[in-house]
Parts: sequence; structure tokens; C-alpha cells
Amino acid sequence: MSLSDRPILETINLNKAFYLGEAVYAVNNVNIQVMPGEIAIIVGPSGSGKSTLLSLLGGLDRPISGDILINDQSIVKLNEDQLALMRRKNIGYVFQFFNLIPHLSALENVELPMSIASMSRKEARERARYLLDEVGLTPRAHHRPDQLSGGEQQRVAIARSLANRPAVVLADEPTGNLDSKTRDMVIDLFCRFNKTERQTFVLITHDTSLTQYAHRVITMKDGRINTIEVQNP
Amino acid sequence: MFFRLGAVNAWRNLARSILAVVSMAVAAAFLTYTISLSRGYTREAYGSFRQMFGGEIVVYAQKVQGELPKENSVWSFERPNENPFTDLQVFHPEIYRQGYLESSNTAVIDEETQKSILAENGVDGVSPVYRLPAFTILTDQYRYSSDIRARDLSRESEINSPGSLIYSGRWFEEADDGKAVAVVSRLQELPPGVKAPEPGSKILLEIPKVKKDQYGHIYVDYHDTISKEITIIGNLVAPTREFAWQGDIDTQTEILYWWTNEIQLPLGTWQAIWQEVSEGRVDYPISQLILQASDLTYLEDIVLNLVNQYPENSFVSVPNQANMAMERQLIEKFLAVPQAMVQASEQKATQQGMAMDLRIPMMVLVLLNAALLVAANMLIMINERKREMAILKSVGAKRIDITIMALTEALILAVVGAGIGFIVFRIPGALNQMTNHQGLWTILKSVFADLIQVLSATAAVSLLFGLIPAVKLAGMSVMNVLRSE
Repeated sequence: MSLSDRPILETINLNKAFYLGEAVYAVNNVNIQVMPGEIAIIVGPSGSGKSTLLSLLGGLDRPISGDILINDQSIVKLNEDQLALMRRKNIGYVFQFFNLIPHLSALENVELPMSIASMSRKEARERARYLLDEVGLTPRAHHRPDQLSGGEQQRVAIARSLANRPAVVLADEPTGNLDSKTRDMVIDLFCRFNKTERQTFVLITHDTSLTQYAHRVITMKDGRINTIEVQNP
Repeated sequence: MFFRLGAVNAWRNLARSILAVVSMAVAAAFLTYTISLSRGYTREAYGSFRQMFGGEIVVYAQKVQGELPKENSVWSFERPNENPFTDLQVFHPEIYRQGYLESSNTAVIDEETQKSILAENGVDGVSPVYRLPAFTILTDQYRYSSDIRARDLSRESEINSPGSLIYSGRWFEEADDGKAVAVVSRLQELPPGVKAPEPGSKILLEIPKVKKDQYGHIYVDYHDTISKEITIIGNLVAPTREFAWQGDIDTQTEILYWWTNEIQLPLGTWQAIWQEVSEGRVDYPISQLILQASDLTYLEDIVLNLVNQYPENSFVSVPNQANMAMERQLIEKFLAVPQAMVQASEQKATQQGMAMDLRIPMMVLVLLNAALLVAANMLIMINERKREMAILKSVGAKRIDITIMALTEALILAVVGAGIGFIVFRIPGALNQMTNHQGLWTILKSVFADLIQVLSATAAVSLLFGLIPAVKLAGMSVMNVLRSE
């Protein structure tokens, strides 16, 4: 099996429970695989455990059992600081509510992960300009988030998620807060980066119409994997 | 990166930032005030003491305390001979208790040292103290031990001459130099029938001769004396403080005075007597100096500098000397105060040693108050920054990065506040130093030294009290924060 045949992201018997008087399993024995260069979309109703799964995949939360492998490396036993270093290198995040730093410009927000990863200022600025250009926001580079529309903010967030060339970009309802036109623009960006840079994306969404863009569609219900479909988008 | 974010964050909530800055400014202002107060005095401070001493700093050739002498000095546990040429035993009687360490080879302050001291920062004048032991004879039956003290009129000014302390008669004029005239303290306690020496009256002085022994050591021969008749031209009264006590009916007070057995003579007159008692064979051993320092704002700094520069000698500011003299009741006469009260007071002074200085506890309390404000401010800050923390952590920030960001914010607010408080309180001090003709370099040095102290204290407090909230912020769960937002 060649390296590219190995999953870039994999969970093995992953469990996460919250204790509300009794254990409530938000993620229950989940086994998934995401191959390099794929767009994987996780769909399911509210409370199905999608967001919890995503936070586990990004090392923002800890499972009670099971394993998560990113590039064949387990992340569940890493401490907080090792997880932070892992995120710098391997994970890009896109949130439903954009989560940009409000007092930094679009350009500075995109530079942020690179500055944290100690990339040189010049290099970081060049890459940030390139990414903003790719998402069509060069004219808005020096605007702060409150001077940008929702769609523009999400495009900045996507550019930021790609800054450190992560192994996987995890997107939590990236179109949930956008109108249909902007939604299409954002999805188009994901597809474009997937095609041009073979960027792997894991998206969670309520919006089943997005599944047409995915290589892998994972359906969750009550914390469990219901179905996994592999398709050609 | 995180320093920059912290610096920007410091000003994002302007109302909160201003509150934090103002609270720290108040604390820093008090700290600056306390530091200044511990170093300097107002122009009028301890006026009568400075007039009686003739300056602002007293220098003894011997060590006042048991300090490590410089090389070639010898540790000695022996009771040293009383030096009749200084007032060391008057103001530092404890040095004559057995067991105190005494450097034994520093009895004289040579001319070179005097010149060198005069060249030191803040020292405007150096006056040797000329003293001689004597007996004042008022009647055939009544005599008392005295000291003959020379007054160099050419070095006197309003603030370092006892001229304005004259109670009756007058102070010296230039024409008095060389004449057999004297000024004495007003005697308050005399046996019945003995008339106090008042202006116009004459007293007889019995003055021992000063000789050298076979080893060249100077000694005073109390068995071989000369007599001098001196005309009194004035009486001195130097008020020191008001002593209050609870009487049978109400609180009563007595104004206390510096009672001294010194016979003040013009320098020329004193020198003529010295020639006579030493028979021209002994140079006067200068064992005490009085330094004039016109800038009282940084008097203790000047003293500290001298202490460091001349470790073989003792330097004490007149205000410090005065405090000690008053605490231990070394020079004052209590007439109206009931004797039991004086004894109780003496007992208390001995036990306590020093009066309680409230400046330090006050400073600690104010700093603690500022620290609690910093902590409260930081706790509010946590709430404002938690979303930012979550974003930064999601893109790879470590806990230490978040802690640095939060502490930078606290530090900037504290330092800006401290800077404002310092400037507001220290500029008048610097202006005062300028008007007292201190060199620019001296002023800058003292301002910088104060600034470092104030900034270090406030920075330390803000970091210490900001640390727990900062660590708390850094330890928050990203998902919990993002879910709750």
C-alpha cells in the first residue's frame, strides 16, 4: 500500500460521552477514514454528534476512548501543548461564525497561524496575500472583520485555514450562516482548493445539498455512524 | 506576536483600561511619594537641629555602628576612649556600651578627605567641628561639665546658624571674633542661689590642657588646666518638639528644648584658647565635620552616597540624628512633664528602639489595593478575551502564548499607570532639585533610580496578581468557549 493509499485522517472506535447524571454518548464507537485529497462531508440532524466529532478530530476536545490518527500519528495521548503544535502543522479550522480576530485586518488574520508557527514575516505576508487573492479579497485585505460581509469573512477564514498548508481543513457548518449565493461561492472555494492543491477537507453540515460536492459522505445519527458513501463528485 | 496582541488588547476596552491605569497611577503616585519622602525633607525640616549643628549632615571620624571597617582597620570589642573633640557620645551613647564594634584607627578626618567630601555631589560646604572639654564655674560651689564649641561666622547662613534661636541678648557679629565673648543655652535648672549665665554676666571656664603622650597620642590632662573669664552675650533656646501627656483633668503639653552644655565661641577666640591649652604643640584633631547640603529633597541619597564612598567614617543626616535624639531623649530637658511619664517614655523608647514608621505598611496596603484591582481587571478581561483565546488556540497557540498575551495586557496597563503616577508626583521633586542648584546629571540619576523602583514594584505586582487569571484564561477549553459564544 503506497502512502497516498493510507487515510490522512482516521478514527478507531472513537467515543465521547458527557455526564449529565448518566453518560450521554455524543460520539459512539465511530470509525471513519478520510483519504488524502478528499472532501468528506459529515451530515446529520442537530445533536447527532457532528460538531463533537469535529472538535475531537481537531484535538480541541478529548475522547474517552478510541484513537484518532492524523497522517498515521495518534493524537489522543498528546498533551495540550503537543496538540497545539499538531494543530499548527496539520489542522486548519473554519467555523460557522467565522471567528476572526476583530481588531486585526483580513491580511493579518490570514497571517496569524503563520506568525504563530514562527514563519518569517515576509514569507507569511506573501502567502497571506496569495491566499486572499485566491479567495478574491485582495481589495479588502486591509479591512477589519466588522467592515466585511459574512461571505467575505468566511472567505478570510478559509484563507486563514489554508495558511500553514495543513493536512486537513476541518469546517464546522461553514455555510450555515450564509445566503445561498455566498454559500455557493464558499463551496466553490473548497472545491477549487481541493482540485488545485489536493487539499483535504472535512465539512460538517445540515445542508444535504452539499453532499454532491463530496468524495465521501458520512451520515451520523445519535452519535453513531449511520452510513458512509464513497462517490465521485 | 502575542506581545503585540496583548499590547493592542490593552486598549480595546477603553473604559476598563482607563480605570486600571488610574488605579495603578494612584498606587504609583503614593509609592513615588513614599520613596521621595524616605529620601528627602522639606526646606524647613528640623530647622532648629540644623541650626544648632550648623548644617545638614554630621560626619564622625569613628564608626557609629559596628560596621566592617575598611582594610587595615582593626576590629575592636574594647570600650573606646571617649573622644572629647566630637559629640559622638552625646548622640550615639550606645557606642560606648561594651561589645559594640569599633574601628580604632579612624579618629581624625584629614584635610584630603575633607576636600574630597566637599567635591561629592550634593555637598555644598564642609565645616570642621571645633570642640574642647571644659568646666563652667558659676559659683565657688557650682560648676558643670561643658564643651567649648567654635562657630565659624564666615561659613554661617540663616539656615545653619543658631542666630535666630537667640532667646535673650544677641548672636555673634564679625567684630566679636577673637574677643572673650560667648553664647550659651538658657539654663533651666539651677540650684537655689545660683544665677544663670545671662547676657552681660561673666563666667569662668576651667579648660584642661591638651598634650601628646610618648607615643604621640593626644590626650586631655584634666589635672592641668587654664582659666578663662568669658562674657556672655546671648542665651540660646532651640525648641525641638511638643510633648503631650494625659494629665489629671485634660491633656497637657510641654514644649521641649535642646539643652546643651556647649559654650559657643567665635572661631578666632576658640583658636586662641586652643593655642594656649595645646601650647602650640598639638594640631587640632578634626574628628567631626558638619556638611552643608542645600538640597534637602535628596538628603538621604547624598548621605548614602557618602556612606558608600567613605566606609571608614560615619555619616548621618541631621534629620536622622534628630529623630534618634528625640526617640531616646538624649538632649531634651523635661521640666513640666511628670518624672514618671518621662521614665515611662524612656523605658518605652528603649524597648521599642525606633518609632513606628507607617510609610512602609501604607505603601504595601496601597500596592496591595492596586494589585487587587489588577486581579479584578484581569478577571473581567478573561471574559472579554476568551473567544480570542479559543481562536488563537484553534490555530495553534499554546497555553504559554495565551498567558503571555494576557500578562502583556496587564503589564502595559500597570506600567502606563505607574508612569503617569510617577510623572505627576516626581516632576515637582525634580523642579525642586533644579531650584536647589543640583546638577542635571544628579537629577536625572535620582529620577531614573526612582522610576526603576516604582516601575519594578508595579510591574511585579501586576504580573504576580495577573498570573492566576492569565493562566486560567489559557487553560479554558476551546470547545466550551466556542459553544457558549
